Amino acid sequence: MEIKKPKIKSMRYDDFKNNEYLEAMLKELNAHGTNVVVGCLDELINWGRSNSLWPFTFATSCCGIEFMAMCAARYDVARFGFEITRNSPRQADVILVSGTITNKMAPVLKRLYDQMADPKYVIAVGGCAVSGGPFKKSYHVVKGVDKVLPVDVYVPGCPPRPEAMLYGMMQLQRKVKVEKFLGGINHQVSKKEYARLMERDLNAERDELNVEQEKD
Amino acid sequence: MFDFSIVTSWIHGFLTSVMPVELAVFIECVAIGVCLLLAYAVIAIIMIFMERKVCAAFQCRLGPVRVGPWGTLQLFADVFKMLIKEIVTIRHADKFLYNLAPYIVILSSILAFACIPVNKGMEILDFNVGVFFLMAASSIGIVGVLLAGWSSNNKYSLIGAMRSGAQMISYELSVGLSILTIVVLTDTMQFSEIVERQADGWFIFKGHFPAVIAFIIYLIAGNAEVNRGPFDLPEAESELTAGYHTEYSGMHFGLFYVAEFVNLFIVSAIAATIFLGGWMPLHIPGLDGFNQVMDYIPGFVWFFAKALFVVWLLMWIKWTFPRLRIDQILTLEWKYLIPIGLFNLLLMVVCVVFGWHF
Amino acid sequence: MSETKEYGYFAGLFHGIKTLLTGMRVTFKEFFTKKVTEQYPENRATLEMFDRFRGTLVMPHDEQGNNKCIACGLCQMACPNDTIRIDSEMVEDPETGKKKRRLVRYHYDLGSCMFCQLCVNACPHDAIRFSTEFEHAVFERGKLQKILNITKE
Repeated sequence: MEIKKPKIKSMRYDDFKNNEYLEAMLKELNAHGTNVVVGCLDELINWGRSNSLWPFTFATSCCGIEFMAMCAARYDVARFGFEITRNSPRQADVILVSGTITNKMAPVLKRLYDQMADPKYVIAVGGCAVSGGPFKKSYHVVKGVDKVLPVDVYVPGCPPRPEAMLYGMMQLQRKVKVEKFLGGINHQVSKKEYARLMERDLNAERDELNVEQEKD
Repeated sequence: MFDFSIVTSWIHGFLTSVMPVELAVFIECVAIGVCLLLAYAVIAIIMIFMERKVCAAFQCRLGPVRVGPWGTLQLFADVFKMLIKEIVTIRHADKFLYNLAPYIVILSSILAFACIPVNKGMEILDFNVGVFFLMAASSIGIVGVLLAGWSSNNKYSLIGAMRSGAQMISYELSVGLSILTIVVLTDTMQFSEIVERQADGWFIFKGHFPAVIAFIIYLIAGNAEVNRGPFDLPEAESELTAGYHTEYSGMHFGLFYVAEFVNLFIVSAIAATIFLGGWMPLHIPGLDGFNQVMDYIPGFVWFFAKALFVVWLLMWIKWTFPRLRIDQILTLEWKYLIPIGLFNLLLMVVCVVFGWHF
Repeated sequence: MSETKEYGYFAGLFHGIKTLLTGMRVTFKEFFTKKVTEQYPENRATLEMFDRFRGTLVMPHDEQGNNKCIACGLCQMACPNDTIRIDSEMVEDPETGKKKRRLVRYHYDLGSCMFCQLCVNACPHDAIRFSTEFEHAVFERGKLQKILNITKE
């Protein structure tokens, strides 16, 4: 069954940037092919998942204020269904990393990300999370949160407008709609792999906690 | 007035004519169970959607509007997502109790839900100590909450669960006292009888002053009983991340979430039944024409209108006031609501003894 | 400094109820007001930012494809963040034999720009300015590195 291009209400497909990334994903999906039942079920589940991405209440600095503005009355994020911000990482779907991540905060952020339940997504909001932003030459800032977490969508801006953040969330919705769920994301790690990862995490030294140290 | 016992007796007659009585009763029980669970899910979806739209209206914004026409399919998207989310296993948690806790909360919720009379003849559990049974069933939920917090192996969940437990057992008293006030006015504890006796006027009118006070106390205490509104400290963000259900994800968390909203509906439905007449239409004694017109509207329409009105009242309260601290919650209960409730009960007894009610 | 009044039991109870009802009246009126939400994707056709809004840096080109940049490097020196990087070359003018600096590629990293406008202020020829486009979210960080000048070949 052929997976179609993702459609977002009130937006044309060509209004979105970086469509070639999604087209590459679609090509890979359609190359393997899925049968009709699994494909239809996937579409339904992905529709449900993309319309119900609950953010994690995480904000470090100014981009957090824009996140609050996005949730307030004027640019209402509840219209999309995302207003239920859960405080516990186990119940949240997407973590919007808003604000500067310092070297001290990076292990905490990684731990919060690890505590989230699959399927989970990361949106890097603002210049500081994309690349270190105004603090790119500082000694204590992580130069871009993708050194610590796998990022799905980057939203540049300092801070980005609430509408720009909504545009970023719509990009994430498109990515979720195109993913292969049953057999893809649904797949858990095997017991041996889980044991190996647990062994590594329990015996890691403090410096090995997955934060890349700058050499300057 | 549409009487639902016509339908039930027809079904029973049809089934007993084609099979032995025991099998017919068994099939009826299974059918009623399925209908109860379906109604539970549907009421949960309506409640959560109503919460999001009403909350948005009070905060000068639109709620969900993009998913489906006027946002009506939003809840189904949430349900799909909740079903496929990973259930995280906590390493040192007590596995049996950790997995059992959501089901205990749901169990108490369903038991209480089954007591509500929706229409004439449409009650599932209806025996002569209905009120007493309802109070007992809703107390089981506290055990589920305490188990959830205790078995999560997380000290903040434990604090949240202890606070929640203290709050719930305190407010049980006020709920009991206010319901008892009405039981004194009408000398029956059976729910269908309580509704039947409101045929010539709802209890909030018949019992004038003490009944109004009891209604207000019941609303406040019922709100606190289900951890809603200004009393949701166990779920307060800046204090305890998510309180007793921090460590739950996926469907287990979905069960807690659903139970919270259906408990809200149950509290409102009991308020509508006991104080506002349940499925009984508005009858003004003496105006027979008016009463005839009111009787044309079926009972379950009256019931849902009243219950949803009380739900709207409770949502209004929730989205107006900031959260109370735990010591303020307990002060409110033990120093204000209980003395006023006891005095109110005494006042109602005096009114009944001297016949000073309608 | 206003003095806080100490209420007794009953006075405190009635005062509390009065304040609660005041709050409830405010939200009740709010329930019926017109909602102020701007529905973002639906209003894209008419959405206009104010003139001074800094969305992204652009180098305006005229109809022949010429820009006003002379590759002086003042914007690169003014940027606090190393967001701008200019690749330039010296070309010899064939008729007069004089050497001139010419712009080859103008690198702009949207991911680290902090929109302070120091580069636009520093440019002596108004070669760069900020436009009001704000929809930039992408899936890959490499897509945020942009080249602002258009070469004519």
